[in-house]
Amino acid sequence: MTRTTFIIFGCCLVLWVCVSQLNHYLAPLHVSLFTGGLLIAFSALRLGFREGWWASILIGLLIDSSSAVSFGFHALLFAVVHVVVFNLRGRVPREETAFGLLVALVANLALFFAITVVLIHRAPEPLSMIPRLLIDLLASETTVFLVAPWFFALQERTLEIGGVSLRREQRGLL
Amino acid sequence: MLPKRFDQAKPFVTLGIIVLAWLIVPTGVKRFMRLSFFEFQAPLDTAAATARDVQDFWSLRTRPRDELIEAGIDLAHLNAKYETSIQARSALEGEVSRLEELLKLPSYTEYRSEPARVMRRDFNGWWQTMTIRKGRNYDIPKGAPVIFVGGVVGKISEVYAYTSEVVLISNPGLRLAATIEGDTRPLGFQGGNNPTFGPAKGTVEFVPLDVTATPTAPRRLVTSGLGGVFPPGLTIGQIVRLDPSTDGLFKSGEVKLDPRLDSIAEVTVLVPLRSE
Repeated sequence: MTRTTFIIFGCCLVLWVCVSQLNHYLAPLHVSLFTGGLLIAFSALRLGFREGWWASILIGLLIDSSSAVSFGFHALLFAVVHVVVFNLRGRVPREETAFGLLVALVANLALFFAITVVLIHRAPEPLSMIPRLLIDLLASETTVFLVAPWFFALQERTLEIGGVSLRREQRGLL
Repeated sequence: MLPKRFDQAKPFVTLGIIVLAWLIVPTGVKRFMRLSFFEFQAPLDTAAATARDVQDFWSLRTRPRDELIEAGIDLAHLNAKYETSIQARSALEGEVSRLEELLKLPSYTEYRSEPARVMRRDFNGWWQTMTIRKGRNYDIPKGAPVIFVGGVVGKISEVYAYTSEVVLISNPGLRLAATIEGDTRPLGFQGGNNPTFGPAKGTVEFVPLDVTATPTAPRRLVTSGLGGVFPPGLTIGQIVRLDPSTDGLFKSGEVKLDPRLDSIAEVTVLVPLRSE
């Protein structure tokens, strides 16, 4: 784990706390936001494997610590999605914000679907949960769409302030 | 140098190794990590909750004095009413103790009430939990029942240094023994669907065939006291629908939970008192 890992983890922590507070206020409406895909998109697309991977694992473990699931559940899912995105990133314009946004949306959808598949058996009537989950998914994807450009910029600028230049790293100068 | 094909598979190999390593990590280590991660982020939630309280305080300060005087008078009326209830309760408690002694019945578990502020709500489609601002510093035990003015909230699932996590009765995984008010036959309650923009619901099963409930004539579902976690008689919700189950031996149905459960700000933890 390097300085880059901790900087990205810090940024993800900020986003996660903001989303948690939003969820607190949305609770009376029974709407909940999930932005897991956004938390890992930047590190999977722009950072080196180890640095980004550790950041994804750490934020996954942090979410696990306050979730009603086995410890390591989110971390494992984040790690899998991170590996998949990392493996595909060589074939796509990964520095483009628009593409990052697309990856965040798809990753979020995949994670939401995976969590639903694993946890839906807890409900006494699983089918009756589908409308609620669809509304949550729609709200989550809209949030990711609106927040992603800001969040990518936040991570890039924080890395620059922390003395890590992504452009130089990508050109192999560092 | 490794062949190119292996380089491409390297992230997947690393993932596999980490997953295998995670599977053999002792539970104690995982528990320690969970507590560490939670305690790491707990101050952020506490700070946000405190900021909300300060915000509420200043918004209340803007209220006119007449409104506060009126609220004070209402409160005095309520206090007078509660004083009478407390006296009646003491008399009833004395009667219960006398009967327990006379009939040689085991006593009910006694509880200490510990009020706590809600710090964070997490009501998603998969689970419903909330974090309260009291933990080991107030001797909150794991599994303790949590109630509010409308009845049962849930039970403590995790206790941390200054906070605790509560699993709500609307949580799909939570089950508890219940009974219909005025009936002693035990039923099974399970948290259920939490539709968007609607009140939380639960399900009830093993209901005897002679019991009926409709939206116009609902039946109050209360805790049975079986299992030893919840004291008997606490409101869970209202049974609004009952249909015969597939085996035809019992009925199962839908329970409407208190809508205030979603916006609750203050709860009471019932801490069981250890018998001497």
